[in-house]
Formats: sequence, C-alpha cells, structure tokens
Amino acid sequence: MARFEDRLWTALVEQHGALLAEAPAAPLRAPAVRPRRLRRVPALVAGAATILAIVLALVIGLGSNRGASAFAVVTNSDGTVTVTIGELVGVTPADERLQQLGLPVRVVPVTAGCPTVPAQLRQAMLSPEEFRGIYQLAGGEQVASVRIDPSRIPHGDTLILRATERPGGAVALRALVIEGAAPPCLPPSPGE
Amino acid sequence: MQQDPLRPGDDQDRQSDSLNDSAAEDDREEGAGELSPRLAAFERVYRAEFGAVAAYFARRCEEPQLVADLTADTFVAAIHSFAGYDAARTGSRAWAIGFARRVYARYRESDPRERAAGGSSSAHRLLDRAETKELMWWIDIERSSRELMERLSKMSVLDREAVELVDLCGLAPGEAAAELGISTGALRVRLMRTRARLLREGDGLG
Repeated sequence: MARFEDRLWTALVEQHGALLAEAPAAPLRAPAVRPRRLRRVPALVAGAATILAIVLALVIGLGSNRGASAFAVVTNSDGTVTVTIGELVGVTPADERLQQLGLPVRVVPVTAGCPTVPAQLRQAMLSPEEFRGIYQLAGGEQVASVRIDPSRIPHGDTLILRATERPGGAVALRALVIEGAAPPCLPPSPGE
Repeated sequence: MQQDPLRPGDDQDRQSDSLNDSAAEDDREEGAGELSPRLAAFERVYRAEFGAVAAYFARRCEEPQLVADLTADTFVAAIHSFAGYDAARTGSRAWAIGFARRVYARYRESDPRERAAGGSSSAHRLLDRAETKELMWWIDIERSSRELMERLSKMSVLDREAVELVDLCGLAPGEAAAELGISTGALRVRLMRTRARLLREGDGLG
C-alpha cells in the first residue's frame, strides 16, 4: 500500500539526506538556516537595556500628529520591534517609520481597487516555526499589535503587515513573508 | 519501510568513497553516528505525516501525478528546514501541513507553463502503476472531504481554512490559529460560526 511513500522517502534521503548530516546531531532546535539580516544587540548591552526597558520603552514613533493612538513603532531591548496600528490613518506613518529604521518590514493597506495581483507575490517558503520566530501577536482581539524579530527575516525577504479596516474603525493585521519588495497596497481577499 | 539509508554500515560505505586518510576515517565514523539520529527523527515525522500531507493535496487535486509532486515538494521543503524544527513547540502535523499550505499556494501562483514543465520535483518519474493506484486511493477517500471543501468555498478564506485545519487536518485550535496568524479565541469563534452555518445549510461535518 505504501509503495509511493517508501520510494519518495528513499529519493528524499538520496537527494537531500546530506542536509541532515550537515546539521548538528543533538539538538533539534538550531540557528536559522538562512543568513540573518541584522545582528542581535550584544548580550552586555542587551542586559543593561533590559533593566532600562522595565521603566521606559523607547518609543520611536507615535502617531501624535494623526491621533494619539493611530500607530506606534517601538523598539524593544531584545532587538525586536512592536508595531501597533490603532486606526487605518496610522498605516502610512508606521510604514514610513519602519523604513526609516531600515527594517525589512512594511505595513501595507488593503484597499478596494488596488491594482496589485496577489498571485504575483512570491510567498517565502518558511516553516511555521520560522514564521512564528519572525512575528507574534502582541495585542488582544481589539488591538492590532505585533512583535517582530527583524533578525529572523531571511535576507532579501520582506515581512508584510496587511492592514484591513474593521467595522467600527479598528484595524486587523495579518502577516506574510514574501520574496523581494512589498507592493504599495493589497486588494481585499474574497470574502473580505 | 526501507531502512537501508539509515544503516550505519551504508553510511560508512558511501562516505568512504571520498575519504582516504586515517583522520578522515575517524571523522567518518563520528559522522555516521551523527547522521542516523537526525535522519531517524525526520523519518518519524515523514512517516507520521505523509498521509496527512497526501490527503491535503488529494482534497485539491484529482490527478495522482500532481498529488505526488506536491507531496514530494512539501517534504523537500520540510527536510530543508528540519534543522530549525523544535518538536517541543510545534506538533509534527502542524509543521508538515504548514509546508503543504505554502507549497500549494506557490503552485497556484506559478506559471502554467512552469507547471507543465514538471517543476523541480522528481516524484513525477517515480510513479508506477502501483504507486498511481496508491495515490488514487488517497484521492478516493478524500472525495467526501472535497465535497465539504466545495461547500466551504462559499465562505471566507479564514473560515474555510479554520475548518479544514482543525476538522480535516486534525490540528489543535492553537496550532491552526498560529498557522493562520490569528488568536486562538478568534479561531474558535470562526469555527463555531462556520460549523453552525454548515449545519444550517446541510448535513454538517458528519
């Protein structure tokens, strides 16, 4: 019954088994396979920064000119970045702030009539484990907030935070990692 | 199950072709010891999840060759990322289905001419009559699931995927939520709403 299953296994071992031989033997948890774009903060600096961060988070961007809670881009002491979008008007300034920081992260609004063809975007081939290492939800149901580890985004890829306006003015964020640069906007998906 | 590639003796034979001096032979013996546990660990994942992955594609495709190619592509992607797999954090089912989703998304986005050329997978040429029959079996047993998928196609993408990942793939709600990038609470709401709608509109999930 399992003829194809067995033969595929044999082909996998023959053609790709060397990948497992190159990997360390003991731990199943290993460093990212692909090169990292940014280095983490050195341990000593990170330790000092952690103490400071308990009292003060360094707020890089706050949407004060467009409403107090429109957006926030906060760098954390461990090198991660927390992006919070309170209103759709916060999308553009949050995106600009991320570009100023030189991070491969873009906030892209979902707009009706957007000419981008989603099928032309090439999704990066990441495992769920790798994906979760890049991005985790930081807010609850009501707040669109994500915590991002830019050092885990593979070189050349871009993390897109797809921002959709919900009824009542709140914003929903969904993340995807694509190969190459982000489009300026995304069209609504079927059912949205 | 074919165990040959995992036998230490086979590893030594294979490596000895390129290793000549005594120091290298010492390395070879250590290398053989390291290779087997990782291959064995990956094989456990492969054996446990092959059926779920084949079924995932059998719900979408009726051609055995295509199911074979997409299944092969999934495990090729998985073997490339196995070094970063943390079994304590992610169940093997969720891990494997995550690759299957991305492989299928990439297939849908690919150029039809590229598809016709056969892509990079070598599974196509592996199929013989018995293997085709084996994959047809998967396609047949997923027929009822395909009918459910057709009914779900009227619903939003997230609702559809929530039901498929939990009710058809067997992921825990937390795993499915992580895969879809939403909170577990939001996923549960979507599941309840979609199941209720299916029940209202027909015979439900069985």
